[in-house]
Amino acid sequence: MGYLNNQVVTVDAILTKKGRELLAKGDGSFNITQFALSDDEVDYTLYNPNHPSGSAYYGEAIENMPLLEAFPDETQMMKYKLVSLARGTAKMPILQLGQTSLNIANGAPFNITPNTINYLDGQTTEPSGYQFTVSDIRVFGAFVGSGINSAAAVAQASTNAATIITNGTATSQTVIGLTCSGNGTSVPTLFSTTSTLYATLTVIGLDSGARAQIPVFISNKSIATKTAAVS
Amino acid sequence: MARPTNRSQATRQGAAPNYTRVSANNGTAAAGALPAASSQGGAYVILTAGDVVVSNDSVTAPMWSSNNPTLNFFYTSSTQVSSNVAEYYTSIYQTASTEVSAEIQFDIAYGDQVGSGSQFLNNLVTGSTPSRTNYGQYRNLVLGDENASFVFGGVTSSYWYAMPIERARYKQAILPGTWTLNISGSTSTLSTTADQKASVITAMSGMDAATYNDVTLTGGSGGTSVTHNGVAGVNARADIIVASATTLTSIIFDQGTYYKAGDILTIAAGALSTGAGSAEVQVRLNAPLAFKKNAQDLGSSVQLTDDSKLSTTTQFCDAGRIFQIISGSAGVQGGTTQNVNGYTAGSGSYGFLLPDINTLILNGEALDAIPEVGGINFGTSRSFDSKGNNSLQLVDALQRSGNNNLGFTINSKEDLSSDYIFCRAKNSEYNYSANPSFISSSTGAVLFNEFVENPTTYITTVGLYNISQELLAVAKLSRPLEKNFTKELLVRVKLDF
Repeated sequence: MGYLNNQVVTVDAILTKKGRELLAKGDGSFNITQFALSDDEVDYTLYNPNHPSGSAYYGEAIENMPLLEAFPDETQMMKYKLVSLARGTAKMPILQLGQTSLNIANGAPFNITPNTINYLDGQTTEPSGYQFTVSDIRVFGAFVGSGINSAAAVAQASTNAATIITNGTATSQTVIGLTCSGNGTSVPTLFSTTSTLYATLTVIGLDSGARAQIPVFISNKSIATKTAAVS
Repeated sequence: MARPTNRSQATRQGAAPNYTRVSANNGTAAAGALPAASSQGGAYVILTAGDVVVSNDSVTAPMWSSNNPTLNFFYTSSTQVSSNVAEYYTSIYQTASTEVSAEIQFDIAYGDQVGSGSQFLNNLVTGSTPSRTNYGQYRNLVLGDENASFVFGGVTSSYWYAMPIERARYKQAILPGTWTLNISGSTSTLSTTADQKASVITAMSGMDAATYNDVTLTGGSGGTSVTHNGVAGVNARADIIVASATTLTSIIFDQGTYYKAGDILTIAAGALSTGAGSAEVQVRLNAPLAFKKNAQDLGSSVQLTDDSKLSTTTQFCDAGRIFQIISGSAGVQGGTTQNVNGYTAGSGSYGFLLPDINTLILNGEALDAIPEVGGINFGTSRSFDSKGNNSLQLVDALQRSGNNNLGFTINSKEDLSSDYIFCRAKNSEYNYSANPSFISSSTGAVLFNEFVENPTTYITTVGLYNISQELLAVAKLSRPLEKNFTKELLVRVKLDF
């Protein structure tokens, strides 16, 4: 006779930077309504389906791996979400952004429309849309999502409408839509010590969970031009 | 526990998902419907009311710096003591105030209804002193009525010592019923006018105005009779301070050497000789002189706590909960000379504990009472328009106890609000991953053929989101947890505020 393992896994959560920001706002935007799971840090090449000890040991190397503590930076957590797909799925959904980086001058517009392959027959856009997150909102003068009217998109747009993009703090911002668009920042002081601003843009398919991330480069060419013209 | 209403069992079997997940984004799928294309996957699960439980837990912790439960050293800042602010309060540090690690632990403020014990703020305004200001400040805070008086255990007292705890030392409030404060009497000097029982010294010969140290009091010869602890002829050591040839200022008996609680020293008329090597000193008394016990020498210290464990009902004042301070320790009544309720005899309780404003107020009259009735003969200075340095005197009294490792022990309490969020992963959920190592090529093919029919994932992180799917909080597991179509998982995430 043995004991059945009926323990509930209990873990302590920490607030992310975004969570603290929304908590401080006190406008009700800090309201946990859903959860997701991820397998950050797991390298599936360590999974060994040829383990001599049998199937119970296939994941031995992964299961014994000590994990790192949580980071408060929301852009560094939950990178690779677990998703629920039909059993028998042979190919995972893949997100295609059509570009490997976003290089624009300050003030210049941009537009990104992702496609998802291996997910829906003959359809490359996900019905629930995509989540676009820039790691530092200061690099954009405008940043909006469009093409979708889901509850999440509406709530996100409402939250963003009440947010003033400042040049004071490096916080992330998220928009939801089929497309995201905007323009590079025109705040010249941000370029005072560098000729290029850097951030990352993370795109997640809200139905498939597929994820892609590209670097964002905002150069200060036009500011230099304007300055020259004035002088 | 009911499953969220936005999930329902699917009717299809086999390779098709055996559930319908409503996207957390559009929320359009109806329960029981065949899984729509848009809802065959996804990463977010909407929590229902039953998945989130709010709980309040009490957390207690030591009060003092470095999580030290007992403060045995009571340092002041010489800079502060010499400044004008010392007239109002004295800050207590756990180490020398010049040390890098020095932090204020609490403050001591003396309050007096008529302004005694401190100097006039302005000589043109008689009676307006820092001690009176302190009294009014706490009267407003605690009593809320400018006409009210502090009534400690049924006895009105017009002066007290407030001890507010430094804000950085606690998160919420003092934990009643767990603290102990030790105070030892304020002086080791026996004044001939304060404690003598019989007549005063009227004449001495052979003594100059000086301090004679380590005088050995010998009994049984030359007409001198010393009775110490009821035993005649037992040596006792003392310092004799003589102001003039005819005035004996004081006799200071060595502390702790020969005396203990209850001792009474009687010096009969006759000559007292100094010890070997010292000039002869004679103290002639025209009548037997009996010294009553000195506050310090006779062990007149007091150990204080509050009556929260003894009270059946909690009293409230303008400063929230209020408890009487009584003799005892850690919420348990003690002491032998006090009234049965732990108060002094005649001066009421020893003060108030006000946990909601993290302040102790010590009844000055109770401390000043003689030891026989529960006091410690503290000797509060209540001279008018005169610096009494009463708060510093209390520091000394605390340090005397601290020297015997009988300091100030106190804990703080915090009511911690926690959200418990139950995250449930059903057998058919979360069996695939967007992890790049889960696929083998740019085409998206899964890494191993075994993953096609029997995918296995390893959960490491739980993310909590708002409706806008912004990551508000995150929790990491201690080790990866295996998940496949034959396993379900329940993770309880605790989020403290």
